[in-house]
Amino acid sequence: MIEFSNVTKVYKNGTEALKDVNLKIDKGEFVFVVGPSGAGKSTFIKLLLREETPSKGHIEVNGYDLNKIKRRHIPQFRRSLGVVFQDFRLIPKMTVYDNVAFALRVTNVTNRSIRQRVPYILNLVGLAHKARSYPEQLSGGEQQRVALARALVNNPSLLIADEPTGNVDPEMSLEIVELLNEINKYGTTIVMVTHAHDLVHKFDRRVITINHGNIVADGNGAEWGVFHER
Amino acid sequence: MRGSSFGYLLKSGFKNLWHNRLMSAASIGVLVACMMLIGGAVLLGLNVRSIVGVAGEENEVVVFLEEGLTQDEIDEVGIQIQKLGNIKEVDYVSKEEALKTEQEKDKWGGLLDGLSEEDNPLPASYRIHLVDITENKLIRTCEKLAQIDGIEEYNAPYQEATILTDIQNAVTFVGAIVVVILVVVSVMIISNTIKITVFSRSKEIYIMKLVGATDTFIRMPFMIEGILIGLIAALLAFGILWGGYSYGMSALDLSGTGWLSISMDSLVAFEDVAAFLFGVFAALGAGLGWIGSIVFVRKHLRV
Repeated sequence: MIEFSNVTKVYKNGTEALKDVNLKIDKGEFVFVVGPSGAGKSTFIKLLLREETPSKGHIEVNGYDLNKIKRRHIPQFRRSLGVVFQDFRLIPKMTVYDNVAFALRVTNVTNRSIRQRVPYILNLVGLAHKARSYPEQLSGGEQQRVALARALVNNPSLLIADEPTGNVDPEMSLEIVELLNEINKYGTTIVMVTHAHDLVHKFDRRVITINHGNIVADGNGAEWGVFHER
Repeated sequence: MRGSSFGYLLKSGFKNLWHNRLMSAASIGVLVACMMLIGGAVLLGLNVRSIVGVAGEENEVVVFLEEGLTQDEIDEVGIQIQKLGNIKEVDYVSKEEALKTEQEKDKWGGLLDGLSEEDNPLPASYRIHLVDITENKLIRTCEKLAQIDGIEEYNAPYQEATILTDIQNAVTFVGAIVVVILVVVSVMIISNTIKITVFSRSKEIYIMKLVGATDTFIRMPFMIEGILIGLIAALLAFGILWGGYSYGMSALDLSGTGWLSISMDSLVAFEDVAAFLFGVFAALGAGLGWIGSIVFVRKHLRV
């Protein structure tokens, strides 16, 4: 599903964000990616989304070779995955409904299936009653669930969450990760970058720790806890 | 692209126009002002050319015929002249008529008095009005004239032709410069507006890219918005210019005195240039909107 082989990323200003990273995430896994600020987590996400290309090494995501993919095929690749960000990234002048429907519209889906699919997904994240609201009228937790709905509406096989609970209160954070957990049960691979150590403890899953551009630990949640406390 | 997608993109183009109505209004206003100035320059130029043209028609080429030609030969020369092209009107003045006219003018201090028809020293002539009296055309016509048999000599208003040509050239040149400057100014202002609009929505474009929108899909609403702004501006500028010009014309008509009313006939009617002006405006506006949105959205598509 995701494979990094000897991936190094050096930015133009000389910053070495990732150093010779090797990584494999299989279909159906739920993976936490943790590490301090500036460790290389954001670069990791950007490489996954093909926002950036590696300076060295090879990346494969969802069966797409991201080193060789043509520019015009990038949209197609991105439709095969869902993304959620810390700052939600909803379009402010669109209603909740339109924000979710938008992810379908770009894929040339018929109006009819949009009208079926969007209410279904909004119902799934518990926001059917807010369909006509605008993002600014919602709480952080609600906005993040809209973003989640948008990420899921395409039925992606991979969901990438970049600190999805960063701007959400603790109670709602738990709810969101539980939602991700549910989604994972139906076979969607989930990669979640986070700072919330309590969540990592609570959900005993695979944890990849990045520091100074290197993977310094890769194991399950319980082991990570031991490692972390030391 | 599906029909439903296209409908959606068209709708979002219109929506954007309304959502950013302040910016849209500013762009439309600036475009209208530029188009009106361009239109004004074009109308002024056309009118000056037209008035100068009328003045040119007053000037004639006089062709003096050789002595002792028969009436048939004289007619033949007339036919030859008609065939030259660029000829508007040819009037024959016989020896007798010439004498009579000159005697009436009494310019010669009685010198011509008492001359009988046998002693008449004045030659018969053709007076030719040309369609186009500008320098080059006049010279070319005269060169051809010189080759016709039976012509003693001719007088052409070379000096007047030079002056008229100079005026027309000057008007055309200055007008062209003014129009070019205004077009450049409109292009710069519109580019800037589109740049700001696109920048204010760069976050939105970024989100679209991450969701997997193609470049065309993202660009379309901007293009439609740009074209709409251009077309609305064209329509407004056209309407205002029409109204203003017609009002000016009727005011001139009513004042009815002096050279202004004389030259009324030679002024260009707005209806004659309406289609041309509107075409230019619409093409300019829509083209600018279109190209501008392509150029400035492109930068943000590199994600």
